Amino acid sequence: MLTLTREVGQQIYIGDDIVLTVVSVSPNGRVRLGIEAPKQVRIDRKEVLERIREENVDSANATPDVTVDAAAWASYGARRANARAKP
Amino acid sequence: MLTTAPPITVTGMELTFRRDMPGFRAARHFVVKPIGGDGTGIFAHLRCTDTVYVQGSRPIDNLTLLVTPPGILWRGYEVRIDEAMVEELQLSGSEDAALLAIVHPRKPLSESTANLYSPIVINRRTGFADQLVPAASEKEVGWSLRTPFPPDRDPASSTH
Repeated sequence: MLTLTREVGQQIYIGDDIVLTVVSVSPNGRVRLGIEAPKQVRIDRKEVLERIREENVDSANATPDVTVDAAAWASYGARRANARAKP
Repeated sequence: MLTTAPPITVTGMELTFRRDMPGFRAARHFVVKPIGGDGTGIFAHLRCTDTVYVQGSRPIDNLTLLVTPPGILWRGYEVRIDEAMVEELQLSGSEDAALLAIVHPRKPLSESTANLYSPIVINRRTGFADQLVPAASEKEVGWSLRTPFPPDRDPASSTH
């Protein structure tokens, strides 16, 4: 992994069009970063994206049972839709 | 932009994700197929028509998730969509947007949970879609990745 030392206000280019800025560093070690990037570049917090990935995969793994139980899900869904339609 | 996804039932549609669904590389094209038929219930299968890749497993040809429009079971549910997503999905207003939450099915099914933290956001005119990845934490957003189903008043329903 490439490591660089930067001071507050200093910047790093990643490729031609992504600019990373060190905005501030607090005494307790929190670093604020500014990121300028084209809109199509996805920027996500790693731990958040990884938890969403895991939950998506876990949910998909649990779903084949639903195909088997489609009738139960259909009646449960229909009843809850009716309950919702009532004032 | 806030959107609240008002529909009472779920209807069939085709979705094109602007980016891969998180966790599934190459997952872009999906079909929403309501369980029990259009306009009768609140759950649908979300079937991917692409061959997708999950880290550490063989390619998958029949990825299927269970989804529900979150505004039905969770009244008052709303979500903040950032400008980047508004632009990416070409949403011209909140009435353009529909939401689907991915359900994590469990037994009995009333014990299932849904991901209300990062719903799928859809442009209902174009079918463009993407799963929201919030910048804020679950605590800040107020909804969990594993939000329990609200209690069902009819006890017969919770049997399996």
